Amino acid sequence: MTFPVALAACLAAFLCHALLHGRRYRLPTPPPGLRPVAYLLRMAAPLGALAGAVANHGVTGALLWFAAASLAGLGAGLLLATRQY
Amino acid sequence: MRETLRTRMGWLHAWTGFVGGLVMVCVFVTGSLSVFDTEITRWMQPEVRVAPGTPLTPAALDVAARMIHEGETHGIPAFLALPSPRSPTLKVLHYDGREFTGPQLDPQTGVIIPARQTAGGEFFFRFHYTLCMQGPAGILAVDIPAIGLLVAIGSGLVIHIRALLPDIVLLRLSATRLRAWLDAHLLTGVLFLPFMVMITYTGVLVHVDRLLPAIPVTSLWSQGRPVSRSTAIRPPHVAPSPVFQPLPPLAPLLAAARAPLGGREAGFILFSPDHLSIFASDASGPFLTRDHADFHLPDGALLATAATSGSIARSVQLLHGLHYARFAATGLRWLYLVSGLCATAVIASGLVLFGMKRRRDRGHTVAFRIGEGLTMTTLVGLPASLCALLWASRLLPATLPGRDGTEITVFFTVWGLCALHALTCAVTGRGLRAWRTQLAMSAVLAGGLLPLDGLTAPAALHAAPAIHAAVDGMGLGAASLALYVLSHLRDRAA
Repeated sequence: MTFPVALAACLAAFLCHALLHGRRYRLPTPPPGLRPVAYLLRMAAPLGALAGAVANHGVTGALLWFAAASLAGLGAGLLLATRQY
Repeated sequence: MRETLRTRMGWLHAWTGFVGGLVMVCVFVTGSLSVFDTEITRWMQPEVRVAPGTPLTPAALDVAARMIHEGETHGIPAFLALPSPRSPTLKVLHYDGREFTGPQLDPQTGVIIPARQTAGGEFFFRFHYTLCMQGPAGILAVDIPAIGLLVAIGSGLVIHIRALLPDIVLLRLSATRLRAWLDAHLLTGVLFLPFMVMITYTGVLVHVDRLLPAIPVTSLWSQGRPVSRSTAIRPPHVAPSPVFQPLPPLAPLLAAARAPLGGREAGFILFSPDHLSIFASDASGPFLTRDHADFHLPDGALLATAATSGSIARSVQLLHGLHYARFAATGLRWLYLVSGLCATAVIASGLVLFGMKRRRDRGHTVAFRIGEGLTMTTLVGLPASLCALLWASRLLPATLPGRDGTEITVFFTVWGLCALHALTCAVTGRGLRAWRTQLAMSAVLAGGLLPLDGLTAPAALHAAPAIHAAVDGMGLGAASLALYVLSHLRDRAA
């Protein structure tokens, strides 16, 4: 369960990151009320997932989190690219 | 000033990345596959159909002990690799000067399994850290480009530092080809940066004693040539011929070793003339230790337990454990494989970019064309020859003497022919044609693994369906990728 949770948290964080850099990623500017939520999610979701992974699985948890973050970033990049394509 | 630094780092990144990258692609591809070396060996030996989890019996251990004692009396020291969830057979192994080899026994009956000789997944592992070169030259041939890769990573970070975080998931496929390739290189490079740094650094660390031999500090100020520690402390002596004691039943010793090893499973047993050592399994945890319990021969009394402690030793054990990943469960192994292949994609895209950036100005020069030929040999020729090795493991007669060596000869012959073809075509200005030919050949060889497996070993498919599905599926994936690239090259040619 650690890996899917970390993957989802990191994917959400990367998508929030893209939303906060809307011009760079050719995304619509988020409404002002949504920006603090996006900032919070971008920071808290991966850190929470990392804390949970390390607390439950130690070294293996850290490795799972790094792999999840890398794959989530790749997924977010492809998702945003195909949207523009 | 900053632009000057970036420009200089760009030069360093390009050249260390290209020269080191040609080697590192080979190292990363085979290293990624080595994560499943045991499973690949099982695919290459379809005669081994022992189900995982088959219990190890005292009778099988006694048969193995007799074989080892017999070998010792004939001057062939061997060790015993115990069954594990990944490799369910009992192996009596000895070092033949190149690799560990020996018979596999059924863990229940102790009967020798008539498995074909094969280079196996062990070949991928050995190629990964020596490029199949003998002696320290092979290790240096891998370690020096690995250090070059670390330099390329550092210089790449300096070049990209300003856009590192804002552009972390930026991929513009609709931009120009050069921009799209650069984005793909940066996207995978930044996202897999922690894995690449971790695996390269720990990989260099595994053989750091070859790069920086341990020399006593005092010898640096002494007259004459420094003397290595191993030479300094070893007095000349004549080894007496050892008398090997008979081995006691091993099953009770394995049970007795659990407590001194902290409840960890045993991985293998080493035998000496007057004692035997039971080592903790590498799969016990992320710390790759050599903790062991020693038992006196022939009575089997516990002599001592050796467990390394200390923060430095534990740190080194952790770094080794992270690189070898022997503790990892199947899911984490897959993540290592995928991360390794993505890291390969980073280096491969860097090699392609190196050529693309220079094609307009220097595309007509012989040096550029040789570089293109070498890139082709690495990116397409290597996967094709790895597939050829798998084909050879199934098509060569099972009883052929020295067939493991023949498999390796097939691998190097195919790779050599690919190199010859790539370089000839590139130098004569037919580089694009060579890319297409080799991609088509790779697609056929990789995609053909599934029918080959089904036709040559249908019973093994039923015995270990997950392993065969994974290897054949990887072949289909590689074939699809080759066909996708091929279709893009066709479009470009049209």
